[in-house]
Amino acid sequence: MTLDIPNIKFREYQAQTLSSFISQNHNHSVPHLFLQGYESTGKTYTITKFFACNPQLTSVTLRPEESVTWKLLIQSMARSIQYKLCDLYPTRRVQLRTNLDPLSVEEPFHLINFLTKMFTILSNESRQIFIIFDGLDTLQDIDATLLLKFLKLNELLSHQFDNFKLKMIYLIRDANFIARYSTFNVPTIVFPRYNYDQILELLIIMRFGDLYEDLLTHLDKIETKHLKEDDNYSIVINFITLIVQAFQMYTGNNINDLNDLLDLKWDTYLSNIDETNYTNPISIYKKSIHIFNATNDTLTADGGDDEQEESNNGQTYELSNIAKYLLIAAYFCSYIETKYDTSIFSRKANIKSGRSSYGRRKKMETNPRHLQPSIFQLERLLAIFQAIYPMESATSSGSLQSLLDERLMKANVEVFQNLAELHSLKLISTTIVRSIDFLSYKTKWKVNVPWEIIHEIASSVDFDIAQYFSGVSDF
Amino acid sequence: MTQEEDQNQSSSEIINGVNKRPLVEDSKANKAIDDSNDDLLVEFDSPSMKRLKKEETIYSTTYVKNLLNNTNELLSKKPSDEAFSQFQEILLSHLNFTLPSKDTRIYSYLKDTHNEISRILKQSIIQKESHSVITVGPRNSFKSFLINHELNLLSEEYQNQFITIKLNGFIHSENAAINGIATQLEAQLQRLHGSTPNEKDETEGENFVDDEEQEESTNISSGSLTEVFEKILRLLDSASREKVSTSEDDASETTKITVVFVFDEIDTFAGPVRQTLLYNLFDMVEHARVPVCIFGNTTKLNILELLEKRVKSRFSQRIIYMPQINDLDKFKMAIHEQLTIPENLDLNKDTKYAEQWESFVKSLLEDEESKLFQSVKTNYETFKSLTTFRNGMIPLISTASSFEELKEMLVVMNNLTNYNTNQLQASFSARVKSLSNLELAILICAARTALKSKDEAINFNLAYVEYKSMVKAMNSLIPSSTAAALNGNGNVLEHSMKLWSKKDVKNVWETLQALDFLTDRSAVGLRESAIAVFYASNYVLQGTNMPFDLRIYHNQVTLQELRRIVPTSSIYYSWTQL
Repeated sequence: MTLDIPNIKFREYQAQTLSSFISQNHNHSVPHLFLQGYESTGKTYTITKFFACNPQLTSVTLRPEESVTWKLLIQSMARSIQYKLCDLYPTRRVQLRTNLDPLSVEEPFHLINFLTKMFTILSNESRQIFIIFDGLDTLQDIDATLLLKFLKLNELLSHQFDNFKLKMIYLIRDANFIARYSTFNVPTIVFPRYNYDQILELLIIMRFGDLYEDLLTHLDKIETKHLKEDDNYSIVINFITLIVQAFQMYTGNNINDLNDLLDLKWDTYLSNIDETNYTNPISIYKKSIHIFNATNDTLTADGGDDEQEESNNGQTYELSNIAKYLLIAAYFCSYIETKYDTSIFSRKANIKSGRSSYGRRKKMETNPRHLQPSIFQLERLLAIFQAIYPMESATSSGSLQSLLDERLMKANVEVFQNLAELHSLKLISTTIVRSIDFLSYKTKWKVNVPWEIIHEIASSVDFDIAQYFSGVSDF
Repeated sequence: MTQEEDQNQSSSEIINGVNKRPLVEDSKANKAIDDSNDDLLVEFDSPSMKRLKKEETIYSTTYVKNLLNNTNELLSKKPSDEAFSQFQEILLSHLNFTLPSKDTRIYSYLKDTHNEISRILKQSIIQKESHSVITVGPRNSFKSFLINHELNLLSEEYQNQFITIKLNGFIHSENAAINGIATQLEAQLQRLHGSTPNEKDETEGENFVDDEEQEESTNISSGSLTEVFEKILRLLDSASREKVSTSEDDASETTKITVVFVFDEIDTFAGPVRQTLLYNLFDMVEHARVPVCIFGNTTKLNILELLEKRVKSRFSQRIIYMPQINDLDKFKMAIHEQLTIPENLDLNKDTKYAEQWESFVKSLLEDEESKLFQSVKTNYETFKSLTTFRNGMIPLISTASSFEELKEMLVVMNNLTNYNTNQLQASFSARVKSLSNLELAILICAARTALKSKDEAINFNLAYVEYKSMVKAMNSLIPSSTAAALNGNGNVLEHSMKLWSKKDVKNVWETLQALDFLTDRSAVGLRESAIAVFYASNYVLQGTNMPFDLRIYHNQVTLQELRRIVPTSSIYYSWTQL
């Protein structure tokens, strides 16, 4: 009757408590159990280990994350239980399969019918089945009523069947989700987040073995005489400790992320160990200090930020010149107040008078580009665009011909086409989401790119955007 | 641990030079620092200072070996003596309410309600009257429990005289409920027919009814909703006739089958539209030839207001409010009943432990100094929930391996305390404490920005700027290198704080979001129903279109709160005020 309790480091209490709420005797197992813990706190590991240690318990694991909607979730629940029962009672397999299609389960009450039929077939058997929802709140279309359905499901079933009992175990990340159902008083086991020391120990337990193997093969390769076992140990452990020390701040107490970083950096670290320094941890550290200084976990191409920017310059977002200038103009519209427009963008000196002619602006407390973009009208965008768009003149400047040529960019079809493109790329957006009349005076616009991107775009057309903001804030 | 530390001093020294502060090498110096609690040092490096000792042990080879060896061992409960494990099992069954119905003890404060429910059920099942009742009470107030308990008791004696149909408003929509009734009727009637075979071939006329009956009983749940409902109603009517006929041989009292409906969450059927199901069922109570008993359970106190006029007028107006415990003495009594095995339990062959246990629990509950009494009192003053208390007691009782140990546990109450402590580890402050340094810094900066801004709205940009300026301000206070910072190797130790790049901090920002410290301003939280989710997924929210840096968030924890949570020894404590 007693269950085996797996010895899981730092989860001893949780495993112990699990064994109190789960029992081989279905009379002693609680019908519902919450395991709460944020990401990478060992919920799944503990529960899997627990059931692996106790093969006499029947369990079915569902991953709501994969199901997306509740319909698919209850279908997969029906299917999993069916498969499980088929495995357990191979002689009844045909009966359990005929006329029982899990896809017909489209509502919770169908699920009840489905299970009722199956349990009736197996009426002379008896069993309790643990259903583990691994991350119920990660179901994409989760709503507040879904858990209520599950909470009441086995109440309805248990009144019909004494022999088959469903026991639900919900693994849940969000503590607020559980708080919502607190009146049900479902027993809860909390998995607290690991702390620094625990992570370090766990990583050593988890990773020491394979890293140590790697190290030995590497040492063989560089043909060193073998060190004492202790020293080899210390190289590996030193590496793990260094990674945890350097990156625990960045990843937080997320053991999986740190584990990934170990994989990411280990090869480089290993390659820095050679015959000259393998006895000297300090010099290994110095040689490979760059891997501890940056996270380097970017998905984009290798290399630092600077290089990346350069490589992007030529073909930023594959926008046309007009589009780029339109976007810059839109950025101005959103981040420069209207009252300064005349002083900044007008080429006619005579309309400047009074204070505005100085172009001096009050330095703002918070940098406006850190804030939400303000909305503007299309007319203003076109005007600023006209002012900043450089027209290429065929004639040499200063000639009489150039006086004739010199004209401003018109808001022609091309411009509007580009504007539409920017809108569909979501770089510029409107306040109304649906059924937009682009030319309506009621439509308000705003830019939808942060400073970093607009800066990149501006520099790709050699446009010094920063000077327009000088005096407003420090850059 | 300390022994190990001493033993492995030598091996740990090899690595010490690499990433430890020079102060570590001498354990005495280390101690001195701990003792003197030098503000500057502790302030700037307190987390690592605290770790020093731990790390030294981790570095040691033997420690690692131990770590690696200890991973796969199983902890098993010690076997205990037979009588005790039997006692323990009964006690656990009692706690879980899974003892056979006749042995289950009802809490004494529920006695009156229990009698009431029992009377109504007996009237409908034995005397074949029709009734409708709604029981109102909060969750876990034993509404369904009492009804089920009574039905189980009655089914032992009058098994073939009634059928129970259970519906739950959470699971059955109104349409599904009709189908649900049909399928359950089907199953129950099949069971009844199965149990009373060969009684149907009495006379020709009856036979005809029976055939129709049987045909119907296998086919009730097919067809359109109205058809199904019609069939149900017809069947309920004819059931009486059928039963009269089949039981002519028997004594005359077993003539009709009572249909007991138990509706959980009856308020969900009392929706704004039509309430057809309730109307028809309550109508049946009045008119059907077969006795019908309807029990509705709900948590809504205003259930009568939810019912339509025509439904309300058909309802018997009988409402049972579940009693609540009003004073500590009653609560204590209930706890006593919860923790002790019911008397005259015939399962209990060896009563040695049961009696001892009974008197032991009683004495502890009466002693106001005892831990048990204290926790009962705390529960009474906070949750006032027997179920919460029970959840904490199950681990206590199930982990005991002998009677002496169990008694000891009940005196010390460590398990209950541990259970309650464990529950608290999901709390906000526990979460703040689990953050890494950088995460905490960003969270504080976000809280600072929120306090500074007008509408408490923040975005990533603003928080990062705040973080940058805070780090810069802090670094400007630190001398770049001091004489004390030179270790034996002549390495200069950097004291300044690392300023993480904006790109890296984005990751931290997302972690804080995942931990519920920050919420998107346009976020709606958990949708109330599946329909709401469906609609929401069809519209793209404005917020999701915005660049990451500019999305507006609200902070779930304020700076003042953080000031109370962040320990004063933390390097960031000074940041927690503007």
